Amino acid sequence: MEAYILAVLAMAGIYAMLAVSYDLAFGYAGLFSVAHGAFFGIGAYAGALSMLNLGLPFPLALLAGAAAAGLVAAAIALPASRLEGDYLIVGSLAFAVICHELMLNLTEVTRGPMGIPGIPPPSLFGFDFDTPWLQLLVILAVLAVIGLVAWRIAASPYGRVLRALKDDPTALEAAGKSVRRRKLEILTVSAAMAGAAGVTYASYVAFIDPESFIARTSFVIIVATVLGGAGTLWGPAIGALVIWCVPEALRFAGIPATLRGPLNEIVYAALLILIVMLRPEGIAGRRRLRTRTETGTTTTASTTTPAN
Amino acid sequence: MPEVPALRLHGVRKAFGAAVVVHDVSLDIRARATTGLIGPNGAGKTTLFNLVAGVVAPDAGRIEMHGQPLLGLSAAARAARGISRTFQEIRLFPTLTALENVMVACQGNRGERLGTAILRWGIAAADQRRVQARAEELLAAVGLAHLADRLPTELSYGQQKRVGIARALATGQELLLLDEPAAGLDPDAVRDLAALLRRLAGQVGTILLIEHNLELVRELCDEAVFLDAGRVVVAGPPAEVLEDPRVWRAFMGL
Amino acid sequence: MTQLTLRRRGLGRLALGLPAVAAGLAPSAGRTQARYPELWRMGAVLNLSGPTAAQGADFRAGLEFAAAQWNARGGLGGTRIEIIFEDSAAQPARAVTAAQKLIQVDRVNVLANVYSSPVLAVVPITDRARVLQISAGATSPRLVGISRYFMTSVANAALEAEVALAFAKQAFNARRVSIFYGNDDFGTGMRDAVRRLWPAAGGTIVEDEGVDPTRADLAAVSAKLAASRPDAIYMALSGASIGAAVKQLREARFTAPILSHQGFESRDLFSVAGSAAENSFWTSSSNPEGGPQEAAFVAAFRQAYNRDPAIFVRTHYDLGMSLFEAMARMRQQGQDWTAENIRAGLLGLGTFTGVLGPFSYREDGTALRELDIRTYRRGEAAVHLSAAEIQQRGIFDFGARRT
Repeated sequence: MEAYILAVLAMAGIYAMLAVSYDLAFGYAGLFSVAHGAFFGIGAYAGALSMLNLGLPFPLALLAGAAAAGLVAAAIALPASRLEGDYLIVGSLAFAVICHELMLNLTEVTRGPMGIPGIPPPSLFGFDFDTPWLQLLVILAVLAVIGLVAWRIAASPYGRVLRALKDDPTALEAAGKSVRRRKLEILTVSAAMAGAAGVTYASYVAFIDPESFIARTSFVIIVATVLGGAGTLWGPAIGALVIWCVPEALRFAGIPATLRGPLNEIVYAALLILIVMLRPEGIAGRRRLRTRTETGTTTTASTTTPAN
Repeated sequence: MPEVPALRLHGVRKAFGAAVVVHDVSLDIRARATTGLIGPNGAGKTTLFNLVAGVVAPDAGRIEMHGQPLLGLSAAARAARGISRTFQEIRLFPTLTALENVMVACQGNRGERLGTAILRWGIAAADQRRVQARAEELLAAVGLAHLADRLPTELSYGQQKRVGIARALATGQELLLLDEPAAGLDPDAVRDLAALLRRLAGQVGTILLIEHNLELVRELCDEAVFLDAGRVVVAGPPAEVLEDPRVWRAFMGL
Repeated sequence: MTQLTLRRRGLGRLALGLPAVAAGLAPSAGRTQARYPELWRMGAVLNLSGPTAAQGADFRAGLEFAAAQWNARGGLGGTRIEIIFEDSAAQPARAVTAAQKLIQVDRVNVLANVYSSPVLAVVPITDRARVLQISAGATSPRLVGISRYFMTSVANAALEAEVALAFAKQAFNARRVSIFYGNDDFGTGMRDAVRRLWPAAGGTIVEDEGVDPTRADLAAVSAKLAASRPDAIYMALSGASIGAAVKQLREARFTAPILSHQGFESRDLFSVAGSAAENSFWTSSSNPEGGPQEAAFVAAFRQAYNRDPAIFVRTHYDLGMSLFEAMARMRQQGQDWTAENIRAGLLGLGTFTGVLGPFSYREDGTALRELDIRTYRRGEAAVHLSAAEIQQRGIFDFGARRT
């Protein structure tokens, strides 16, 4: 039982890294990308290959994975930072598809669809973190670092610029802040964090293949972020915990096998619909403000401002 | 030696598709003065603002500030050189408080650099305090110190406009572009605004404002420029410009 | 085709082989369930939700029906079977937690799983926990020999290459073979299988070239392969490009035999390639006529589920039936149901005749199933050598092989 719970928490922890990092770009800066799963994959491959082929220790592999995902994101974001709204969605989707194709077809590097087995567990100075508790410890440590960096970004004046960017890029540009530079930076940082999550995942599961980093992976990350409350950081982390724990808890609900599959889908969808209807700001988002404006019309504003 | 104008437009032209919105406009805006830009709707006033602010690029012509060419600089780079603006539709950041709206526009905040924000907490905190003090000062200058922690939706229209002005002042004060500051305000609020702008005129570099309220232009401005169908029709002291029959005709529909 | 559930030969080997195997394994055995409990539980990680959930329902029905039939007969010598199904949504990450739950919470030591990705993601977990992972839905050549704790009951694609190459060696005394493969899961897996098998059989690989399987412009690659002048070309392409590839090869004046797999035979191929498809030989599942056993299965399934058993019901029914058969026999032999013993029991089954025909488990974790060699002549596809003929001529032994 214990090892199972630890495994669920480990997966939730890895997805918390993804949701928190995605929140920086999506929740704060308003950049709706569907390529986060692809950066997760790039980091996983870079980390796995650097451990297996170069013999890098886990901490360096972590940096290598983060750097690889960050560099690719920067190279992509350079032209893509001109993209907004729907175009960013389409552009990032195209990128994710190309990434998946490359993972499949760069067989000399990625072993293609065969995937990469035998990825070693995290180790430090010859000590292997290979028991369920130690693996979870490593995951929580990486999550803590990612969370700390994300919190610094969100709580600092930089985070304020990101929120302004989400609100109104034109007005931000008029206030003397380069929108392109901020988009480039935050997409890079967010992707680098996803890359680190990828290395952690690769080292935890010990096997990666292109099917682990498909569009559905990005979708799960987006759902966790929205569910938990975009623009709050800890909300998406809770969202990740929820989307891992609810289906796992359902395994114990004594539901007949014939209903289990459909029920999973229904619960998942119902959860999302309920959140969107009742708490569009997510589990952790602040409550809506209802205020009357001078013109007498009632407007609503959702505030997701973290305490600075 | 002739005085260098704060802003010089030379042969500036802008078309959107087949519609030419600004026709070969050449214009000098006197430094340390308040200039009113008037004209009927569709005369090209806001487009002219956008050309100066760098939101749109001209098809032809040159734009200089204090003799330095502006073309090729992004809107953000121009703002960093002291060109700031308000918007006709205000465009405050809706999820930021009034104070944050002003703080985000303050220049030289090292906490807005990614590396500093993540690693150098001391510097970020120091700049945060400095910028906050500056923003509070500016909010006080527009008379809104007591509403610093309100969201834009919790403010009246007139108050929102003032936050917009404070935000522009935080951005830069070399050249202040105000797009219809009095539009939508009741007479009392217009009077307060006039007082505020008169006070600012003594403090900031150059003010260029678009305004339909001709009385306000007469009262506030040192210069007036009448723009119609993308061309400068007449420019000079407000008293002269506002008496010009072409201006009359345009505004009275004669 | 015999309809006996087991062949004599298999039984004989079982009787001789098992005690030795058990003696070797018993001391190091992993988790041992209580000796013949009243209820024996196994786990199944299936795609019960997600885009392939309909297939997942068939997988579940097949396993469930096999268990129900055994339970109706009194179970495994008195032990009732329960299968605990867990959803993976076909995602590797979800399969990992599902497998952990089954192993840690339900303490199963046999786990069914499908699809190559979830299977490979679970391998490190089952290896560590010494739990046997079985599958009737993972055919990728990449699964050959991946773990001692993994066994599949469906034919691996690599088996097709094995049979086709054995045929080429005997029928045309081929020595030099080139490979024409598609750059996808299947194609690269088959390429690797041929690269591994052919040199082991004493031949040489002259050239191998990969193409994007969705493209029809294959002239350059065809010319290069033809120029390597092999005795045969193994074509590991799937999808629409096969016809074009055959045509281009023949246009590049390659006249020697083309070898391929089941995917070769398609209407498209013959309409695009026409007579160029002659002198091609491919493997294909030999389809034994449905005997009384199959008819009984279909009737019983219809009665229980009110529908016909689809192919994926059958694959999983065979998986379950072979597993339970092996375990019931182990009980008769007095063998404990440890994962290691069950693996040995499955290998010791010899040829098991399921509703999809006879098959046997192999040491490398794959299964051996009978294949025919087919060819294209006089405008249509036809059997060139039946599985029985292949067996008789000593080209390949489909019997209960212990490799």
